[in-house]
Amino acid sequence: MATVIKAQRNPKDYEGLKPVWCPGCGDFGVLNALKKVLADLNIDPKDIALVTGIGCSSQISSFLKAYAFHGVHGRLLPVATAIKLMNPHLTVIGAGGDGDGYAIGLSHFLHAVRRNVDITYIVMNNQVYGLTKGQASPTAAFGFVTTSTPQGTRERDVDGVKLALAAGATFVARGFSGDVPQLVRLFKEALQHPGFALVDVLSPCVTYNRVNTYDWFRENILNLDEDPEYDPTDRVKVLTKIMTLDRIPTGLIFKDPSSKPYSRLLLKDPDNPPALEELRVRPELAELQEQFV
Amino acid sequence: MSEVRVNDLSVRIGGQAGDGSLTTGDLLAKALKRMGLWVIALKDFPSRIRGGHTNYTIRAKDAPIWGPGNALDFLLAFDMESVEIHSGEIQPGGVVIYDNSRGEQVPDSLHAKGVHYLGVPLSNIARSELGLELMKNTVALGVLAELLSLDDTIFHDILASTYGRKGPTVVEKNKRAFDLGRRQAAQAPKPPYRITGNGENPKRLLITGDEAIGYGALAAGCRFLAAYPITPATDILEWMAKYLPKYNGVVIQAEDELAAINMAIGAAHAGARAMTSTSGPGFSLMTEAMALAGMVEVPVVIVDCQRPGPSTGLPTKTEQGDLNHAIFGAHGDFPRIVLSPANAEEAFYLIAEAFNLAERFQCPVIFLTEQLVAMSKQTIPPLDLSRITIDRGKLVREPVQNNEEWPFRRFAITEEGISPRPIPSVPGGMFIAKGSEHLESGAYSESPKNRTLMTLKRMRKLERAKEAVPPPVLTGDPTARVGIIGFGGTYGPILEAMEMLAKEGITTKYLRLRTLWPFPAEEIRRFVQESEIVFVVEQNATGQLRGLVERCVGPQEKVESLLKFDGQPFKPLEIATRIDALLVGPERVPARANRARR
Ligand SMILES: Cc1ncc(C[n+]2csc(CCOP(=O)(O)OP(=O)(O)O)c2C)c(N)n1
Ligand code: SF4
Repeated sequence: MATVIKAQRNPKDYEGLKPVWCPGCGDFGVLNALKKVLADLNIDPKDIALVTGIGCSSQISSFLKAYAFHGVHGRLLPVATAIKLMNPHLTVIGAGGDGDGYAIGLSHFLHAVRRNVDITYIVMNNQVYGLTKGQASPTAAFGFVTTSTPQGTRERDVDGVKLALAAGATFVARGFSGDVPQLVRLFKEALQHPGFALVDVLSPCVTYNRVNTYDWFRENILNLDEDPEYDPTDRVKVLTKIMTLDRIPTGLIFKDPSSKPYSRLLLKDPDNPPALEELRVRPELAELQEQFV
Repeated sequence: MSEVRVNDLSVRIGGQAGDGSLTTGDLLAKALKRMGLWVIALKDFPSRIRGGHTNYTIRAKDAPIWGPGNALDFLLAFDMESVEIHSGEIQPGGVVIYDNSRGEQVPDSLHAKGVHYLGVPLSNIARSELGLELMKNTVALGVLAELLSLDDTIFHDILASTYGRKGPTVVEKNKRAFDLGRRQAAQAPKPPYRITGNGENPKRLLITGDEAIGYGALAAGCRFLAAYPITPATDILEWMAKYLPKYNGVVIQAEDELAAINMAIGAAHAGARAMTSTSGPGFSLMTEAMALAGMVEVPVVIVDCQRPGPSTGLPTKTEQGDLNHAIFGAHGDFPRIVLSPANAEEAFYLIAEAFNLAERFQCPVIFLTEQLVAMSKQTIPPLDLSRITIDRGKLVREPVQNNEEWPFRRFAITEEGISPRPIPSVPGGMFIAKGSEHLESGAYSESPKNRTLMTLKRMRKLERAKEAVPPPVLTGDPTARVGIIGFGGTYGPILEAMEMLAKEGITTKYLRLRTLWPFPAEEIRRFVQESEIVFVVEQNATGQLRGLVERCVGPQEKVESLLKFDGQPFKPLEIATRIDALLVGPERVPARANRARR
């Protein structure tokens, strides 16, 4: 008989400050799923570095108990990357909005993908800028009307999932705040992936987005996890498929089983994190002067 | 006939970028250094890779030097453009060696009095005798060695060590090139120069400021550098990329400077000593995150190797125009420390101190240097690593007592403004590093009372820092009437100008600021008070340092600006002449003071 090992932790252990999101905000789903996964994986809160940008969604760093870093708008990935490199023992999670990640922070996103730094990046994608009260974000569909786009946006929308795939991401998933059990599965895989893991979460803004609602998403989603034929390991097939879909794919979209994490590539001795080194002046460094003599 | 100049020499090598003048210059610099002289090698190159006039000046003396001299003694010109541009700077007794492979002649209009012009078919010899035009560099070195009656051995040694990697044939060829050059100059009249060296062969180093910064950072325990390539800071990135990984450190070439500084902040938050290096344009991009570091109290070291701005300015030249930006740039009030080294030697020790100050006061430290210091190769005494200490301030690595409380009061309001700083993974230390205004725990707060207290807490650190930062250095006669204030790379030119003035009977004193923020107001006030005239010497157009001085002492007639902003470093004579011009009468007193007395 298989022994059932009871999780030593439960989601309550990760409870942070009381969330101040609007009731019904999609970001609650992300928070709840995250707490459940961290408990399931039995990760000590002190070993989690949660790094966020700026936006409603980025406030999550106060709502979950961890070592939190709440930086500036769009730059969470550089911060998270360096934390992971200096202490690979940590579970590093980056989380923010679609404006944070796909507008102001877009270049960092693609470079984090290129680096394949071993962190999990959660984008709470609501097609608007929540915190600045509802302007269009880059994921808003062409023609989307907001206060900053009264005639409707005249730009095509950005899709983080496709970008990541094209840029060579080793783990790409999309979840939906209305489906927390799936989010739990996706987060769990993402956190265990040895490389950069993107989880784009369709996370409705109930206050400023009256178009992309929970019901709207339910009608427009295609859950690839339910398709037994779907092979998430063949990048070209995956891209072809999602480029031709007329619905929004969710689920585990792509995973490269041969992923090698950045921290292992860069650090000479990843088991002895530089962040924990007992610093002293090393006399042997004096020898480096020879090159200048 | 001019008198013989002993152990005092300036050689300029001019040509097109890609001609090899840097290699020639480096060989010459090394040789002169091994003879026991102090050498500085100053790069003046165009902002492009091939073509365009470039020149490299090697200056040597039997005393420490940190900048250009007043005039040139030798010009090694690989093309006529170099003769046109530089022959006016050669002093009587000097020699212009030029390549006359294609029958070139120096036109009469360019002939300066007392200067000898020596045409040598450098490229012809290189091509016909050695089969490679680039060997003209080594031929030219031979010509120079012959004119100065320098010994073969040192040059042969250096050629062997420089080209050894390329195999014995290359070494032999270079030695032959050198000897061919010697022979070419054997009949030429010997100019009035003598290089005797000092007989000893001290283990001095020839090192750039950039290399010294990288090395000093590594020695101080820096384990992380993120940077985006930019002249004149690139050499820090490249040096560290080579050495940091050997010590379990990481160097990342970031996608831009926004990423670079945010990475450095992340690394420092994690608990490593971290740095980023850049120049003006990149430093401008970093300002938002610099304020973040101020707010979340993360110790990050930012190196700004200044070049002339605004915008792209003159990417490969020198200036000190980022001073105000370093001190006042970025939004909001937060404490920061700004340091500036005089030369490569000081850069090494001061960058190490920058890490201590950053960690002790948990704030950004800006290390402000400039192209002259960053990129010139300077001769410095061997570096003493035992002078470096490591002080990590209130870093917390042990489990925190009473660890039930969450979030940990990372931003506890203390008398000195400094709070304990646990790093991720420390049990009981979890906190929110929040860039918005926060309570002691890091939790967001809009309370006016808290806002006031927190701002004051952060700013109090600066009060404490005042006692910890390196104080200004006073040189010269403390009773002198004439005072000079400066920072950074004007150090060498100012010292030499003071010597020149002393020979004219004018005594001066010099206050050199190593710390630019917190500003040493007390010392400045006293210095100005005790001087009859004060020259604030700086390399920018608007007198930024003078502005800071006036913030302390108020606008005063006796404070004069001595500025230069043409991209070139000060020559000692430029400083001496401008000071001299404002002094009158047999007593050489300040004109204004004199006027007042009358
Ligand atoms: C440099 C900078 N520019 C602008 C802002 C203002 N700002 C705050 S949040 C935000 C957008 C947030 O949108 P998103 O990232 O999608 O997050 P959401 O609020 O929707 O969760 C903006 C533009 C800022 N804080 N910093
Ligand atoms: S404004 Fe929108 S995104 Fe922000 S908390 Fe409310 S529902 Fe969520």
